[in-house]
Amino acid sequence: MLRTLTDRHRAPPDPRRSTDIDDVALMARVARGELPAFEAFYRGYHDRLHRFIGLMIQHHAVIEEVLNDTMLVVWNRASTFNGLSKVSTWVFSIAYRTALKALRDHDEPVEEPEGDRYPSLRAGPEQHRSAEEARAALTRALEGLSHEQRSVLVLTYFHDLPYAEIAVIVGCPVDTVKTRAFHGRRRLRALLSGEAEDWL
Amino acid sequence: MKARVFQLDSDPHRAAQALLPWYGNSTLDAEERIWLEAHLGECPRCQADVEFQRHLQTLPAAVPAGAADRGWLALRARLDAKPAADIRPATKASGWAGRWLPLALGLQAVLVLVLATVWLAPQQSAEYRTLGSAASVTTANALVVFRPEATEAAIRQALRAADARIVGGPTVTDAWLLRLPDRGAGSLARLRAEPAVARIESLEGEPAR
Repeated sequence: MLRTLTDRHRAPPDPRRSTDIDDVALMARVARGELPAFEAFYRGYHDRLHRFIGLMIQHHAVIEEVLNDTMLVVWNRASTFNGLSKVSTWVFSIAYRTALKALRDHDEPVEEPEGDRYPSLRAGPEQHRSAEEARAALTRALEGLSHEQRSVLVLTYFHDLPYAEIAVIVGCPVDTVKTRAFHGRRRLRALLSGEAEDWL
Repeated sequence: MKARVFQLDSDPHRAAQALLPWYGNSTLDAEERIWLEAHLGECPRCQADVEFQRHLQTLPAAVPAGAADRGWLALRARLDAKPAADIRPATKASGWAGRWLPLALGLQAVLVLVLATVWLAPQQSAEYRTLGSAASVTTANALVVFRPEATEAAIRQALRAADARIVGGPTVTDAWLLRLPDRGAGSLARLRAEPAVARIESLEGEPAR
C-alpha cells in the first residue's frame, strides 16, 4: 500500500537523463578534446548539477560559477576517469568538492534556526500553500542543516541516488551517510513544521 | 555492509529510520525493501515519515530558463580565452597562496606598469591593434554565432547597426567575440533580432530589461 502510494507520487524519470553507457562514450570523446562532445555532456548534466549546487549553495550568483568550475575540471581531467565508478558519481563528487570549497571561500554560515523563521510546509485546509511557497520554505529550511547533512538529503531526495553512491560522492562510509540522513531529516522536519526536533 | 547495519542496530525502528530515505527514492535492494515494508506495516511513525519524504520529493528546485545556454557560452568563452593547459577553476584560492598570491600579482602588475610607462611611453601612440591581440580579447563583452547562410554583407550591416565591433574569433565552435558600446541593452537586443545572428549572449550578464 505504502509502496504503491510512494510510486504513484514520484515524478516520472527525466527522458533527457543520460545512461551511464552514453556518459562513458561521451567522456571518452571529451578526453580526446572533442568540444561538441563536451557541449553535449555539459547540457546533459547542467540541470542536475544546477539543482544540486543550487540547494547546496544559496548564493545564486555563485551557482553558475561553481557549475562551470566543476565542468572545467571534467574537461581538464576527463582522461583520468578510470571507470571505477559511474560517470555521474564522478561528476557529482567533483561538484560536491567544488561547492564545499566555494562555501568555505564565501564563509557561508550554518546558523541555528530562529523560532518562526521557517514557515510550515504542511498545508492545511485553512492554510493553502502554493508550490512556490512550499519550495521557498524547503530552501530556507535546508539552510538550517550542515553542509554534510544537506548534501546527503539533496542527493537522496532530488537525485534519487542510492546510499552507496552518495558515500562515494561525499567521500565517507555508508554508515556515515545514513547517520547524516537520519539527523538531517529529523532536523529538516522540525524546521519545516516549526516544532522542536522529535526523538525517534 | 547492509547486513551489518541490521545486526549492529538492535532497535528495528531506528534501523528502519536509517533506511527510509532510500525507500522513498526506490534504491533499496530487495532484501532491505521487504524488511522495511514489514516494519512499515506496523509503525505509524515511519509511515508518517514516508509521507513527509514523498511531499519533499514533489518540490524539486527549478532551473532558470536558458541557464544551460548562458552557462555553456560563459564556459566556452573561458575555454576560448586560454589554452586548455592554462585553464584552472575560477573559485577563490585558499590557504597561503590564496591570501598572498593576489597581493604579489598586484605588486608585480604595478611594477610592470611603471616600467612600461617609463620605457615604452614614446611607442604608445600606435593606434591599431590586431584582432588576435590579448588586449582586444579581454575587452569582449559578448559572444555571437552567425547563421551559416548569412552573407558577409548582412553580417557587416548587422554589426554596424548595433555599433558592435568584432574583437576576436572565430573560436573552435565558430563563435565571434564582440565589443558592444555599452552593457548592451540596445545593442544586444538589436543583434538578437538580426536575421544573420543565430545566437548572441552577453559575457557580463544580461542587462536588466
